[in-house]
Amino acid sequence: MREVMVYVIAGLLMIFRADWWWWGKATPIVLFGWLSVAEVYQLGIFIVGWALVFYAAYGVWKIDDKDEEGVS
Amino acid sequence: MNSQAINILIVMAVYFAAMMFFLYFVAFRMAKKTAEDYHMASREFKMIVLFFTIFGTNISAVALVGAPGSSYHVGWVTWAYYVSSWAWLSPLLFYLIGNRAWVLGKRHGFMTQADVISGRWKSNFLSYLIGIICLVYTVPYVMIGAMGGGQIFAGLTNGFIPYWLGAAIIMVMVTIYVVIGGMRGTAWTNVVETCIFLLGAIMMLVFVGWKLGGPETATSMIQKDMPYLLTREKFSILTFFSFGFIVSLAVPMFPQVFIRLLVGESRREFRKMCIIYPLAGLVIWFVVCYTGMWGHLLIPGLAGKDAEQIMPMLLSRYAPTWVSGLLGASMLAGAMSCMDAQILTVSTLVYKDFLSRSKKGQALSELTRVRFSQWMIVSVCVVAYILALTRPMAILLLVNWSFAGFAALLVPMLAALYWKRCTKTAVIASILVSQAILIGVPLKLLPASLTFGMLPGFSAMFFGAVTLVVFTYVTRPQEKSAIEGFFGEFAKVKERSWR
Repeated sequence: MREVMVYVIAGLLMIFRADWWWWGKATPIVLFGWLSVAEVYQLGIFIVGWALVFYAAYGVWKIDDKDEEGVS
Repeated sequence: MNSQAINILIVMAVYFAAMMFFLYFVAFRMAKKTAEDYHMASREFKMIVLFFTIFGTNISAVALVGAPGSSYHVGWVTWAYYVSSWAWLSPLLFYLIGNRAWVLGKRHGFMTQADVISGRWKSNFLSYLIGIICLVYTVPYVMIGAMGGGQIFAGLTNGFIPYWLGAAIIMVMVTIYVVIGGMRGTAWTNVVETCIFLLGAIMMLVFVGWKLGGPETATSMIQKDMPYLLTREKFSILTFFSFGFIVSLAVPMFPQVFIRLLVGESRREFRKMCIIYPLAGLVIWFVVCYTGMWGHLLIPGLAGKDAEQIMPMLLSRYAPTWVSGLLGASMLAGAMSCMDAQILTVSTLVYKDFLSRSKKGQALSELTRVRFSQWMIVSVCVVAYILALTRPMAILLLVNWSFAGFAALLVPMLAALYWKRCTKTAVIASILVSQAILIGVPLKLLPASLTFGMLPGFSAMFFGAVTLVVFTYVTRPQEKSAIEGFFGEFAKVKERSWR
């Protein structure tokens, strides 16, 4: 179930990364004097996606030493 | 001969000599003379090598030439195009596919997508079908690598080293170390090449930013003179939306990437690789795209494809000769890190999906198999070089389709690994339908309305998935014993998370 949630969230992120509400418009520069709101938003999508990778790898995909023993 | 050209050639010669010396100690001496070792390095890579070889194969001419060129015209949206999708979604899919495929590879010696999918249904036809699709889409990519190398050489030396000679130099260097080193050699060269490219690209961005007076000044100049580079008004949101899916789903199914998902020593090493992959993706795309966009301020007026030369042009015009030699070498290293993997992959596909399935192939000794693979590599390089000289448009179209073509293979791959009810007929139908849409729509054999206004790859995947489901339920399921035999492989390994 947790794994399904990971891929549902991934799907939602992929939809909302297309930020149509300010596409084609100028957005204010808000970070370091050179990154706009739209860029920060895209960075935010990336960070949430990266967190999902972390969660999938360590929260869902648990491996202990014995896990590898069945494979030869 | 101009000093820039001499400098580039000296740097490349030193680089190649150092690479061969390095390879002798870390790769060749460790190699065993078996086909498994030649193509898969005995599946014993730890996280660092695994990461660099998978990431390095993604650093193609697209990152070196295409992305800066695109950023030059449309702005920062190019980095978001990849980073807010592919950089994190592909590792999630690496995990979904690689976790199970790795087990099958370790147990049965599987190397390719065709191995895994045809292994589920014990079908040579499926192996040949998938093998042919992978070859048709991969060979043109090798040609693109040679073209990228030729363009970079010509750009760095202002045309003194012509395109044909630049492409030849790259092809000869890559052929030598791939033939000698196989997977072990290409993986270790990927480590060096990717490090050099990452460092070189970061230095290049810092250099361009410094020339412009810093990021804030550069951004102010863009706001004043070319605001469209910040607003994304020259880029279609539907392309942004659909290509994000296609590129993310395609990457795990690139044969050169898929094969490398199986060469880790353990799933623990594989997991670590998945964690660091997104960060490297962010850094590299951010750097090359900003270099391209800021480069517009330094060298304005480049039209169309000319903008793809922006990085070598910036180096040759603004950097001191010795710096441009070093950074130019880093760009060539990036190009080679993808090309070497693709060349070896073509050899692996022919060896595993075709030769080793024939009775004659199975009777060959290990050494003969290795020799066959090496001659295959030389042949691929010669063909790719000749194609690169003629630059045929039909081949370039194939490259455009290849992302979608590989993404469409994800549907049968997931079905093979996870769906017990799925049948062989359904998988074959799904593959044929999705590939027919990919080829039929651009050639106007099928109506464009099938794409819903997005890239054809999106609808190819959609209709491929629908076909898979429909055919699965109208055909007879696989024998229960065969299903249990295949899925039992995963149960033998403790997979707590999958239950």
